[in-house]
Amino acid sequence: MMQQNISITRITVKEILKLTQSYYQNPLTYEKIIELADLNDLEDSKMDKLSGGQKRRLSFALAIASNPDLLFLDEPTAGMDSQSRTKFWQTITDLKKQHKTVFVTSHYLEELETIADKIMILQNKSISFDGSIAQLRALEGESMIEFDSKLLPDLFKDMPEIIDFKKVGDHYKFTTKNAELIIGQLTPYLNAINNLKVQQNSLDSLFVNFNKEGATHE
Amino acid sequence: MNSFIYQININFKRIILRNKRFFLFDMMLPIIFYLLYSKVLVNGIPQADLKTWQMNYLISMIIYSCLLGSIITVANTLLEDKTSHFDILSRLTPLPRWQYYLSRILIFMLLNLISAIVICLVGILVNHLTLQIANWSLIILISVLGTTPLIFMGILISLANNPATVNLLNNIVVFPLAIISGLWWPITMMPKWLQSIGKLTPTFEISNIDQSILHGKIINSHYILGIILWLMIIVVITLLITKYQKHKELIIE
Repeated sequence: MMQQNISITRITVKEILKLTQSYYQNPLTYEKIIELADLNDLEDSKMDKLSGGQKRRLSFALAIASNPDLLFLDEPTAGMDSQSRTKFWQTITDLKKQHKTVFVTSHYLEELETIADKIMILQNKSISFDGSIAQLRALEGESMIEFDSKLLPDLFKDMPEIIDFKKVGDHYKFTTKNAELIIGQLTPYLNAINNLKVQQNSLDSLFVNFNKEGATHE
Repeated sequence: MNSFIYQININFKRIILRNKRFFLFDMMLPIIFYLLYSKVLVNGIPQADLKTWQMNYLISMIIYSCLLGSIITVANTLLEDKTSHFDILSRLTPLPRWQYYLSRILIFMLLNLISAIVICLVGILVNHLTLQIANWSLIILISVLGTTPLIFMGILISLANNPATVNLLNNIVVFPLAIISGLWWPITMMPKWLQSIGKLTPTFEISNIDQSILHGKIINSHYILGIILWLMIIVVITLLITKYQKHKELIIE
């Protein structure tokens, strides 16, 4: 699946799919392709009249037409609405279950977080990280704990493992590498704590941090 | 084989059936020219010569229409396939390249065939031209086969990869070629030096072969050889440029 959309004039969705099938020895069945790419209502639409998201789905359909075991997707969800996106990643999960290898390039990191078994970060022409998301977290892993409380800051200030401590009014904000430990220590005070929120670093922030470090290392 | 037929079928719909530009341009222009010069503006021609002129000019217009189809439609279609990423899509599949081009070339020949037949019908219906079916078929067939060098010329132009350049090249090639090879006006109206260039063009060669069939003369083998030579030269240049472009792409990467 290419990053650019394919938009051929004077040809319908159905025709281009059947045409692409005709290029392969053992393609997926037409019905299966339509189902996987969620193109049911668009079969007779002209290819160049599709919207951006629909074109993405069609590009995906063209990519899976050959029933490949290894699938490369370059920015697959750019331009898709959120519903299509959810459906799309569901389809990818199903493909994964069929032991297909899927290689995704994407700028939407929060999508990759749930789907990817392995993450690679490409930086300045070389791969600067290669591992699982858990490994990336361990490398950069900071979590944020936030809550409102009338308790005095002295109670929390000296807890171990707190990297950054902030208090604005009654709002506390800690950064830590070991969220579980901190929560354990907070437990006795839970009655006096409101709006507790623990947030693991998202892939987005990991990525930003990683890039920053990468830049300073050079 | 089935899949090849399907590819041809889709290309037929895409390039001919749903392509209004083709109907307007490749066929209407020669038909209008034909009606104008063989029916409307014929005051000065004696009645005896009129039929011959109407027939000769019909052949010129068949070839003119094949010229328009082969160069303008071919170059634009192939260019469009590139800009719409159709070209790269089929490159990523196991489809052999020759099959990609063959399914298109056959369609382009069919396109020329349709225009040639329609223009003959105009001649028959409007000017009541009479010829034996065998002669009509032979003239049409020769015109379509003889214009294959022009299809490759269209392929060659499409390699410019840029709509502005392709359009410019189309105009530079098509109209001067039509004029100097005597398709618009008889070649004898041209100055001597221009005639000698015009007689080397593939369009003049085909029209000459067609005229020989029409008047029951022996076909000049020089012209057949000339068309084959043109075909070979253009195919070789096309292959060389394709190779060079591939080479350049690899270097950039």
